Amino acid sequence: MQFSEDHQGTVLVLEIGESRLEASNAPELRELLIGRIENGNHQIVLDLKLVTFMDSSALGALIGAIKKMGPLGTLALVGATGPVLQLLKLTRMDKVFPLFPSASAALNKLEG
Amino acid sequence: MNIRRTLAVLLSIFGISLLIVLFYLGSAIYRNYQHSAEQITIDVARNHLLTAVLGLQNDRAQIALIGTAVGSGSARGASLSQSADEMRRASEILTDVGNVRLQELSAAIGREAAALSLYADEHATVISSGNTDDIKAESLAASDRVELTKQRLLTIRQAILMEVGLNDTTIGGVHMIRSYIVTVNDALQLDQMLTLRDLAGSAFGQPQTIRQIEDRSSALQGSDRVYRDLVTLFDESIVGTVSDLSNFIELTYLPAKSALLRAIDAGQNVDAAKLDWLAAGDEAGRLISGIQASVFDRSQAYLDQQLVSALRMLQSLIGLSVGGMLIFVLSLYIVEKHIVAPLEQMRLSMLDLVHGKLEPRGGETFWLEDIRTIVDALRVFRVTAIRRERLTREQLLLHAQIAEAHRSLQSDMKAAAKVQLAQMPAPGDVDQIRFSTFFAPANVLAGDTFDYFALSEDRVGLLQVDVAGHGAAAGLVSVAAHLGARRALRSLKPEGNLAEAVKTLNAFWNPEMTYFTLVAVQFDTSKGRGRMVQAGHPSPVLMRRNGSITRLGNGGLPIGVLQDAEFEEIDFPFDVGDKLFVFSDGIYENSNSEKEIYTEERFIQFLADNATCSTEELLRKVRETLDAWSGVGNLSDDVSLVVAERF
Repeated sequence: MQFSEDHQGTVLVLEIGESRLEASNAPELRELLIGRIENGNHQIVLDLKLVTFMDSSALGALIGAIKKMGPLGTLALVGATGPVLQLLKLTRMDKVFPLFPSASAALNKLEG
Repeated sequence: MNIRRTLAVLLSIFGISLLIVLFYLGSAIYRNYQHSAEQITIDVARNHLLTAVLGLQNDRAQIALIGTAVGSGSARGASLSQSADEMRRASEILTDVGNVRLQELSAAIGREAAALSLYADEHATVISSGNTDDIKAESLAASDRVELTKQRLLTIRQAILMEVGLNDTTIGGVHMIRSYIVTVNDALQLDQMLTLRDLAGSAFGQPQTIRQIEDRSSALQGSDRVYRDLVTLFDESIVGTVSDLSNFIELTYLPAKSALLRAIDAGQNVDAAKLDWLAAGDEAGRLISGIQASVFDRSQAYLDQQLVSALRMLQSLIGLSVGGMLIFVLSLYIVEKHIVAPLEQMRLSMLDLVHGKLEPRGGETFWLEDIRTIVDALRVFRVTAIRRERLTREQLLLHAQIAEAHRSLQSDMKAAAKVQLAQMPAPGDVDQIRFSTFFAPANVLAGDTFDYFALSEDRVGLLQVDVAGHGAAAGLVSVAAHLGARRALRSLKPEGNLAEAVKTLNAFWNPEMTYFTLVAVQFDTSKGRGRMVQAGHPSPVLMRRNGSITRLGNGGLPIGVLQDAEFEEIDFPFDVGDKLFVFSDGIYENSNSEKEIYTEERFIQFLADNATCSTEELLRKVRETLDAWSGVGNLSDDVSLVVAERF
């Protein structure tokens, strides 16, 4: 799975390089997130601006990550649009994950 | 053409060449040997011929003396037959020699011998007749006759020499000495004969003066010296003997002759001086015979030595040939045993490898290092081939095991799928609601499931579950979710709170398990209404009798995400002719070959476009549309659609 990461203070910014997050690459996404969390990253900004489609399996990976983090951690989603945003809204995940239009906005919020 | 045949041809050519070389060399050496053997025979014949010539010279002198001595009674008589015998022997010996020319010469000698023999008899008859005149006449004729025969023999002797040739200086020396003997003897005999004739003052010619007789002595002396010097050039070993003769002639014979002449001059002691002179002549004759014998011994010894050395050469060549052939045969054996046979064996081994016959051939050890290397390499190939074969066998076995495990798993999955399908009700009527369904799992086991059942009079429950993912894990969770949701609906009191029931389901859902989305509906046919709780599931579509379409609800948390999640209950009208479409996201999230999602909007539009169709027709179109979009059997997610229709 394509992605890039960038550490901004205590916040880890992960930018997904895939256009689709679905059953085929959901396990990789889960491993990536769980791995970073186990490494001590509890403030993660997941940039989804390149993602045009996300299914319930990928959503399961995000849910798994937030469960792993516990109540003190934050998994912020950035750039969710179209079907991705629809899915988040349908499942009310927009209430579980903080959503931001851009990574800088998320960083401002998290670091502030 | 193979290696064996090529080597056979090459070695045959080599062997034949060797044989040809040996044959030519051998025949040359054999000819040399034969020639040496012939030389000995020819030498014997020549010696006989020499004896005959000397004999004839003596005979002629004797015959001459018979003429002069007639009346004096001192004649010694001639033995021509001895010379004839010598000639016959020479002739016989030469007959055995292979050379044709020599055989011709042998025949000539034979003819001369026969003629001489005949003549000897005639001569003897005349001599024994006692008629003085006849004897004198015969003596004169015989002298010429013998001289003629002698000359012929000398010619033949020359011819033999021409035929045989002078091989080396030793043989040349021998020839020279023999010629010397002939010359000296001739001169001596002539001298004696003429001197005696002169002394007798006979009828042979005019009486000679003493001066003339002395001149002849000088001639004899001169010829002797010339030959003596030449002999010295060729063969020193015989020089002593030759010198003895030469010295004898010079110091004894000629002085005796001079003494005789002086005595005649003085007229005193003539008889005694004559006897001394005759004795000296006989002694010279013995010395000549002695030289002849020494020369013969010498030449025979030399020729024997030549023969022995020729024989040695022949033996050496035979030894060399046998050795060469043995080495050749040994080479053949080595080439066959250590090169050709192993190569053949390797060829067969390689063919075995090619044909997959991997049994080891005999563990023979090879003599040549490179053959050993190749055989070792072949052995390694064989071992590798065996290993590869074993590996292939193991892989095939493993593959068979995997295939078996897969079959077993498939069969388990199918059995599980049957159980799962058995959970889902068949299309049909429950109370006054007709349920039609469309269900297409992406795999054998599905993450989707649904159920509808009567709760109590007038109340009908409907649920649809979608567990994230699909396959065995999703299928098992799906069964658990199905049971949980069914229990929640069944335990609901007629006026009970549906949202609370779902909340309880969520609260007790094991957080270790995958989350799922759910739609739970309770229809109340007596009131013409329905209640619904949506937990992360796509919003159902309500199609009213007049064809208008509404989406129910705007989302909700899935079950198993947040333990204390709250859910809302939505109340909606559901009267005769109204339809409720409940579906999982699979129905609009399948992709086509260009990875394009069908999309929810497109699906809703599809429903709106087909609002007037019967439910049965609609479901058929759903299947067609799905197959057209994703291709038959290419679903990436489970698809389930339940249509509830109030009648």
